Amino acid sequence: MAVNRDALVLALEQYGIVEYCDSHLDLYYIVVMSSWYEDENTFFDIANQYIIDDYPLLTNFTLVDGVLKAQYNKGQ
Amino acid sequence: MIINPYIFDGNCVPITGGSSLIVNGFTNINQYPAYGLYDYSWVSLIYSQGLISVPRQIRGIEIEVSGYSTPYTYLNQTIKMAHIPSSTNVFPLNPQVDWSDLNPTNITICKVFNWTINANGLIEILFDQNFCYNGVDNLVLGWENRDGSWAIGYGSAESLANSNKGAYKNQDNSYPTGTGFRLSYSMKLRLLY
Repeated sequence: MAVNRDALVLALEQYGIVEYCDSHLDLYYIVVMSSWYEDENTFFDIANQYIIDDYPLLTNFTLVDGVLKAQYNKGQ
Repeated sequence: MIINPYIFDGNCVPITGGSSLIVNGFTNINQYPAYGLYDYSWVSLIYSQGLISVPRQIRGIEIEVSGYSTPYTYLNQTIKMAHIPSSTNVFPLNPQVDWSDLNPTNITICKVFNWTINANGLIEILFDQNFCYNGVDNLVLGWENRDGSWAIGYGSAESLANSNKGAYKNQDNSYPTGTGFRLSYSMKLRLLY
């Protein structure tokens, strides 16, 4: 089952501006947000609901000055 | 009398036209050698003396990348090499971006370039300034990504699990300073000499 991108974007938009949200070559899934005003756990709750079934490995996460970048991989 | 050809007359050993695959690997590491998700990234890798064994005039490297949407361009890339003591086999817990914790010698800026990946697979990068490896110390390779912007479509470099042989730091807006993070992978690397 593929990531429900539309639902994911709707969930993310409640907490900031979605700069990028999509997969790349079905290898990994990227979320880039600006103006993120919640903590990281809020993001992880959303990601756990929409992303990790298809991309279970969180390989990168940063939240700096409201810019959130996360990468989930299918596998190494 | 045995003459170490590396120090004889202070010159490098000659270029031979040869090459050696010193690390092979099949794990995709996005952080290596540059991480396109960030404006700037820093990567350093330690390759032990035993992988090279003898003095070499290193004239380039070959790495293997995958997963890039091609063409993909990184601007303002710098590849550096240096000797570090053979006793320094791994990065410390909080590795310094400026290598000040590695006691490096003969730091050489081997290449400054804009890097366009036109196809995934093996990529050969020839240096503008060769590195004279002395056959005694460990080798540290640095890759500085000063592109200044991030872009989707980035991929990864084939790598091998190897405890604390790598280090990285990624950052937006400015080039990273201070301390980075260890990464237990060695980037697949062929030395051209």
